[in-house]
Amino acid sequence: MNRLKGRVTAVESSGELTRADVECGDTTLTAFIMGGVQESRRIEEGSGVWILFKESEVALAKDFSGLISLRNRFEGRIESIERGELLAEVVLRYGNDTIVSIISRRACDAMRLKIGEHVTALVKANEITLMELS
Amino acid sequence: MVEIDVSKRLHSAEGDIKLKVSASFKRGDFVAFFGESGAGKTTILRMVAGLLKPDSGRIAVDGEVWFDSHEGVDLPPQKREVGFVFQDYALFPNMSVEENLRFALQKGGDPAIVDELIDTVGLGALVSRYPSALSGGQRQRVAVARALVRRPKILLLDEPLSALDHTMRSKLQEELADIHRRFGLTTVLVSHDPSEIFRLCNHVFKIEDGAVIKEGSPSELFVKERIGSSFKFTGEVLAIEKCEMVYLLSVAIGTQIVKIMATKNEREGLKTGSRIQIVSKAFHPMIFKIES
Repeated sequence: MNRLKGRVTAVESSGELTRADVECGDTTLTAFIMGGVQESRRIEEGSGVWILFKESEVALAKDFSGLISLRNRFEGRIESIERGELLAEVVLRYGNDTIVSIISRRACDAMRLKIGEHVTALVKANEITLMELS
Repeated sequence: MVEIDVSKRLHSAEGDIKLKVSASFKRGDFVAFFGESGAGKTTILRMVAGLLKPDSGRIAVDGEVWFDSHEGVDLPPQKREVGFVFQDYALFPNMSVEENLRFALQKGGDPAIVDELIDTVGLGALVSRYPSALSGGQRQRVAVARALVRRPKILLLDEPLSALDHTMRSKLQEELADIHRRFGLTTVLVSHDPSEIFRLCNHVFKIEDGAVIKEGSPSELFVKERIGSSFKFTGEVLAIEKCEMVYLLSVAIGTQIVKIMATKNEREGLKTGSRIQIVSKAFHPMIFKIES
């Protein structure tokens, strides 16, 4: 899984659903947590958290424009690409961290991804897990 | 309710340690005392069984006082309703399986229990054998059966499976869980093996330098990472297959075997037999109603 450090900037709950905004590098991410205030008790404003998401849940965009519902975005540079028969693993440099995306080989080829290129990594808010720093 | 609150000064090779343990749990619990060797786990069991006298404190089971240094109560081992399975089994070598069990029978006790227990642990064919003619697993079964002859309230297990190989261990773990349920026991296990504790126990006391430093359910104690709003399963890795740049793990979770996808960094350090925690956010599941 991808694992980055962040800091919670806002927490808002509606019944059993909680939305947390987390600052991470030069971007702000949103994560949805179920379980309302009780579950999210340890996730509070100002607290440091691990931001976790699976490589296979990271979509990539190049020359990205227009509107899209995914608001969790990392602007990174491709550091390496490993092409398999059906899958491709793309490693992005994001500040001091790396973010790994596993996408289909076809998409990788169609986008003509190359090392050194700038791309946007996108992750849905419900794919992000927050864990308190230990 | 089992209440243990005892202190004792111990002399060991590493110097003196002061054991001061306070632990309580409910009837029907399967609890573990977990910690490094020399932490004082076995000593606690011996004090509960009445084989070793605490310097001070109190031990009470269901309101009945077994030991109380203030009131001068100290029931002898035979008056405490405990069964003890020792690490080395401590069977009588000059007695057959059946004789070992009959010897444990109290005066006036119902001899039918001996046959019932022999049946329960599947030793029917071996009743006239001597311990030296039994395998490690069979000896352990005899020791458990013998500990149950007096129908104890509490079964004390001191690293009962540590001398056995992996296959035999997991088989006997199942049998212990079954016996615990079947005889309505409260069981206390001394162990340094988290996977054994995961399988058997509902509550763990972590012992360090003669004191309980932490307690909770096995997953609270052994899984440091706390994550909200998610499914958590504990499983055992059965196989790892590489598939392009990812890995497929076959994982046993309870009675199910599932294949899950792991990335390189998740696969790191895993091997067949590794215990893992699988976490998935609660947003994912697709839900199908089962028509009855």
